[in-house]
Order: sequence, then structure tokens, then C-alpha cells
Amino acid sequence: MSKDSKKRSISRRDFVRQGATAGLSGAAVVGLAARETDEGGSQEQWDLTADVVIAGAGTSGLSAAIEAGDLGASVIIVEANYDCGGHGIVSGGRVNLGGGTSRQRRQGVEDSADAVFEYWTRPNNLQSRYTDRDLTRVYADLSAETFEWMVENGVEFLDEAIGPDRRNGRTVQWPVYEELITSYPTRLGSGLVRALEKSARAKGTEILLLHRMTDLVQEADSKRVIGLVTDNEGRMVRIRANKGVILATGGHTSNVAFRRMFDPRLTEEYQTAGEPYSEQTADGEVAAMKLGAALWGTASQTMEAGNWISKTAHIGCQWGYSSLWWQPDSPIFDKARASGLSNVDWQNVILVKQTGRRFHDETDAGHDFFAACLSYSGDPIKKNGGGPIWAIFDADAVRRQEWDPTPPNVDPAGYFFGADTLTELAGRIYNPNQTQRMQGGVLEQTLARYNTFVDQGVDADFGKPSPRYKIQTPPFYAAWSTPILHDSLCGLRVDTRCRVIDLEEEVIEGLYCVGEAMGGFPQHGLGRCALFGRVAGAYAARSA
Amino acid sequence: MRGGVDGPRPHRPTIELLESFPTEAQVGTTIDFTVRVSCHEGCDLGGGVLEVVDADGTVQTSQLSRADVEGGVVADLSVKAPPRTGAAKWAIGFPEQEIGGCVHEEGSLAFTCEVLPHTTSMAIWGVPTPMKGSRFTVNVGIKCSALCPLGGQLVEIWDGEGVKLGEGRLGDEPRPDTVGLYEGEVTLTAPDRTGVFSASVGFSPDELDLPHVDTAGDFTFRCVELPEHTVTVRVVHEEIDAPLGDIEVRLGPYQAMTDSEGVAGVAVAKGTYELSLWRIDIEPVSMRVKVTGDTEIDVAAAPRRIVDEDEERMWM
Repeated sequence: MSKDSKKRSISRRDFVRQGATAGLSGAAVVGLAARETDEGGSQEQWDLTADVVIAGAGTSGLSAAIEAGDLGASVIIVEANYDCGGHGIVSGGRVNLGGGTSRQRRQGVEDSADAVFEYWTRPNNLQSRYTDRDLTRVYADLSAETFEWMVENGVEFLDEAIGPDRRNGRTVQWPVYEELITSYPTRLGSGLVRALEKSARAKGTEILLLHRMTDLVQEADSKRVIGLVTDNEGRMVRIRANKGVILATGGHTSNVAFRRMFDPRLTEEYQTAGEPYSEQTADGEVAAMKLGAALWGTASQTMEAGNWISKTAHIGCQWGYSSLWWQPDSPIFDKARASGLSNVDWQNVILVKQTGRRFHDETDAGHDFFAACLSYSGDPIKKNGGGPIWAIFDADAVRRQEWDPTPPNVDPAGYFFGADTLTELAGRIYNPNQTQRMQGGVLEQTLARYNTFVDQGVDADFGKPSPRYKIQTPPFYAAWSTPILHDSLCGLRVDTRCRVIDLEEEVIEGLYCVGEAMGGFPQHGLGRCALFGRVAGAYAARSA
Repeated sequence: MRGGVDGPRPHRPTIELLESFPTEAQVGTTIDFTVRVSCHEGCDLGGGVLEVVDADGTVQTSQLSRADVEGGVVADLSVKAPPRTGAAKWAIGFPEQEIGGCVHEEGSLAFTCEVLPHTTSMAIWGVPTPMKGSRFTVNVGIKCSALCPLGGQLVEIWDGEGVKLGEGRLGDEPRPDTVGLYEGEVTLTAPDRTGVFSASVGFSPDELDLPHVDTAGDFTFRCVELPEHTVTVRVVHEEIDAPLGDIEVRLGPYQAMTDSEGVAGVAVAKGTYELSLWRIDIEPVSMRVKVTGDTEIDVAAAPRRIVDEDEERMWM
């Protein structure tokens, strides 16, 4: 393939026409029988075969499967988890798609692909500043169409459209209670994921759960990717892809070694939104990088350009991401263990590092706050990472906040502690990430100083506006309040067909990447996942 | 088995601690540990006798009862740290005894531990914002690390120059909702001037059965002018015009709570203040108020908006 053709952008018209003309003739029957020998003459042994093999059954992977299936390809999805959905199913169901959707028209909003492109390439905004313009053009051109495609595939949206040019909306929570991972009403992503799953299965996609991709298989001579290897609870399963392998594995945020390539501060104490249901393990990135794949759009990650980290909204539990509030009726609540204490008014608490010392204005939630959280903790051994952050408060705060500081609201297994005095509280704090014992005397000094600021009405150390409440009345509490990570803002380099590009700027034939594992378009939400999933599914299905 | 009562030499036992003995323990605390005794010749020592001797020469006898996977026999033992601080020593003795037809030599193992006093910790709360020259109370709570009863013990409050400001005795029962925190109330007189003042609380336990470490803590309080006027604040729900009770109303350092009619009367001195309202479910309200006489203020408070971070960031 020439460089010219490799770099050619896909247009909306081309996408529709080429996708539509791909016929059923290229489809292979999904093989579920004994191992086959590769027809190409290699000695590869295969357990299963399909035209398109997708790693990851989240929003991106399911969208790719539907698109490929619609074009006549047989599809297998392998999914590491016990159920579908990835981050999408426990997300807020935010879908950013515009450019003239039927929803926008109903709202009387005029929008265009060019306006979307312009918006997502603005230099004066961090999230749009570092986007890949070629990928942004694809997003802009296919944005409206992808919205209608979602609706056609059963996704229902709330009757609202918000944000600039009303490009944003939320999906309707999936109505089958038993098929939810968490039922808290803001977890609307279930309505998107389950609808796409239903559509994909109806169109013949085979979904293999508990199959974690461990490797890609490359043809020896051509270097084309011809399949992948999965681990099915200790059993190796090799799956042949006649047309292409699509990586939709969902980003890298849970992989400490991987995320620290972009920011050495992000050591193991930082949890990830979506866990403990869905981990972002970087499986796709790592497997592709073994084949020479390049990373892309890393400025978004290193320049902290998007929704990469959040202040905990629910304290005293391990995973306190704002709108993912684990409730006891979740089928995985045994893993989440606690819901956390919510609706925190930061005037009611102080935040301390593992030493027991304050470090910043608790009411802040901006970049300066996160920089302070992640700053050197004083640990002479573990110099990177800011260490655990604890919210310290008292019985008066519990009363004002109307909290019930008992399980399952809090997690006493390392994430919440109570005691009658501050010295006793400091001595009780234990967590795998607490690398040094908090000294009771230090915590007492911290509180005494803070309480003086309350008397004086001025926080002389960190400028918390009008510190309002003394923390003095027993019992005292320490609740895990360490910032939580969210989006992966960079990933593998792809071209406008979502084909993975290597360090020589050549296409790795047969290999595609979408979703959070893909670099260059770090938009928050599910719109880009579905859209680029469709692109990869279509091009893979119609490849030779 | 080799050797026996007729053999030329008795068997030699080995005595070992299965986990390290603590180097420090507080007075009167119980220290649990496990000892294994094994015979070099492989005898089963089950039923054998061990003696634990403390520094006072008191002997406690135990029996080896539990077989160990490594061929010995173990005993779970406990000793009590003496009621005095300093180094304490114990010895485990295996007296000469015949087990399974073989005579086993005597053996012993000694171990030591530094015995420390109980620690105490303190909480100071209920510190008000007193009028200058007025009497006010402060709550002090003391807790012993071993939960010793502290009822009747003295707590004292001192200023920065060493002048005693007040004292109080701890109550006989722990404070409700705590585990062994004994609470006392100390009455103080505020200085005759406004400002922020600091004080120290000291606790030096006396006549307790076991030695305890002293503890101390500091606190500050703000002393304000005597009120001259009443600011009556009436708070209603912005949307339904209903009175809002239990709203915390502050005018600078002065504060009061609204009643069921949504009314709070705040006694203040003349001056200009930041009026602020707070309850967890309303949006915070703040405004500047100049008080020159009795004043009435009506405030409409909006329900608190729960901010969903996703919502704020979904398009950027």
C-alpha cells in the first residue's frame, strides 16, 4: 500500500458506500470445532476462526462487531470479563455526537460536520488542542450518522440535549434489572451497551466471555496480523481472523507500569473509575507494541488535557468516582465492599497525606489540587506518587452531613477508620499503600493548627476560604480520599481507517484499534468509542 | 528409639519460641506466645511439662500437648507484663523428666521485654466562641491505651504563661459512643479583650493501679465583643416559600440556628459581617451585612445542586 493511500482520510460518503458494498461473500463460518491448520501454509493451529476477531466487548468492540456483521462478516468477540460492557456499562452513558443529528434538529439546533471539526480542534482548549486532525475529521464527518446508527441499533436516549450545540446526551438505563452491574440511576451506559450487545448477538456475533487476549499472531512472512491468543481460565485458545483483528481492550489506566510511562507520579495508590468491574489493563496496547506499534496523542496524557483524574466524591471506600456510586444491590458489591460517604462538603473535613499533614485547600478540585495530591509525600523510599490522602473529620461533621459511618457505607478493611482520639485514629490507619505510620502527634498538631484557622477565619497555610468548622468532637474518622483516575487520554497510533501504525509509520496489516486504547482523539464519553468502532468494523470487514 | 532408662545418657531437649517475643509491652498486658520442645532423638514429648518462671520467681506449669509438623510438641503460653516499668525477664524451664521410657535432661530458655507505662491520649471539644470576660466550658476527654478506668482523674488548663485557668475531674463512665474515653468539663473565664487565645490541657494521672504516661493538648478560642443588637434572619425555601429550620446562620463569629419557623435571632456587636447560611441540602448563601441596630433579614435559599462531574466534563 502506498503512503498516499495509507494517509487518505475516510469521508462520510466513502465510508457509507464502501461499507454498503461489502458483501456476504467474504464471510467465513465461525469455527468452533477442532483445531485447524492455517490455509496460508503456515503451521499455525487454530481453535476458532472468524472474519473479524475483536478483543473487548465494550462500547467500541460491540460497535465494531455490529458494523462488521452488517457488512456480512462473521465476528467473534473475546472478552476478559465475565460479562460484556467494559467501562461503558458502568458509565454515565454520555454520548457526544453532533453535526446535525435528529436530536439536534428536534431541539432547533443547526450543526454541521465542519462545526464539530472546528470545535474539536480549538487551540485554546487543552482537550481539543492535542487531537489528531485526521481522526477528528473522521469523527466530525461520521458523528451525526453514528447517532442515528445507535438509535437504529436499539439505543434509547433521554429527551435532552446539552452542552455546546447540544451535541451531548445520555442514554436510557437498561430496563432489565438483572442485567445491570450497578443500578444507581446515573449508570445509564447500561442502556447503550446492552442494546448494542443485543443487536450484535442478533446479527450473529459470537461473544466469548472470560477470554483474555494475551497475544497477537502475526504471519511470519507478511507480518500481517492473522489472529490472536486468549487465556480462557488457564486454557489457551487461538482464534484465526481472516480479515482483521480489532483491539477494543479499553485503555491503560489500571496498568500502573503503563500509565507511569506518561506520568511517573501515578503509582499504585491511585484507583481507577470503572473498577472493580472493569479494568483498563493496556492488553491491546502491550500486544500491539510487541509488534512495533507506535503510541499516539501522548500530549493529551502528559499535559493532563482531559478527564484523567478526579477528586473522590464518595469517601471511605476504595473506588469513589463521582457518578459511579456502588450500591449494595450491585452483583459485584462483594468486590466494591462499600458505597462511601457522599455529598461531601469539604468545609466539614480536612485532607491529610499519610504523614498526617495538610497539603492544599480542601475545597479546590482543579489541577493545582491534583498536583498537590501527587506531590512528594516525604517517604524516603517511595519517592514517586503522593501516597494515600485521608479525609479527617469528627462527630459534628457526621451529624451535619447526615452520614452513617458504618458498613456498607464505609469500608473498614483499609479505607475507613474511627477512633475516640486523634492519636488513636492515627495509630489505626492501615492500608497497603500507607508506606509509613501516621504519627498521632503530627495529626494532633495538624488539627490544632487548623482549628486555630477556624477561630481566625483565615487559612494561613493553604488559603481554604473561610475555614468554617473545627474538627474536635469525638469520635474522629479517617476516610480514604485519594484521587481516582479515569480516562486513558492516549493509546495506539491509528490511521483514519483505525489501522494500527508502527514506529516506521507503516500500517500493521490486519490490526485495528479503537476506543480508549486508541490515541489521538481523547474525548470523554462513549460517542467516539462507538464511532471509531464502526470505522474499524467496516474496514476490517471489507478488507481482502 | 535409642537409649532408655538403662541407657548411658539422657536425651537432650531443644526449646524454641515459634514467633519472636515482643521487645516492648505495656504494664499489665498479657503476652501470648508459643513454644516448641523437641527431642534430638526423636522422642514424642507429648504430655511433658513446662514451667514458666517470672522475675518474681512465680512458677506457672503447662503441659506440652500439640504435635508440631516439624517433629516437636508445642504449648501455647501466656505471661503477664509486671505492673512496673523497666526490663522484665521470664524463663521457660523444661524440668528433667521421663517421657516414653526415656529420661530427658532439663533445659531452659530465657527472654526479656521492656515494660512500658500505658499511654493516654486526649480530645478537647465543645470550645465555644465566648464573649470577652464571660465564663465558658470546655470538654476534655482522656483515653488509656489499655482502657483503664479514669473516672475522677484531674485535668487542668493553663495559659501560655503557665497560669492555671481551670480544672475539672473526669466522669465515672466513658462517654457514650466511645470505647473508654472519659470526659470532664472545665469552666474557664474568657479574657477581657477580643482576639484568638490559646491554652493547654494537661493530664497527669494520679493514684492509678498501673503507671501511665502524662498527656497534653492545645486548643484555641476566639473571644468576641459583647452583643448589642439582634439580627433576626428568616430563611425560606426559594422555590416553595416554606420556612427552613435547622439552618446554621453565621454573622462573623456569632451564630445561631433557625427554628421550625425558619427564624434565627443572632446576637451581635455593631459591625460589618459576612452573613452565611449552611445546611447540607441547600446552596451556601453569603452576603455582607452592616449592623448598626436590631435588624431583620429575609433570605431565600435554593436547594443544593448535586454536581455530577461527568456532566461538567462531558463535552470538554
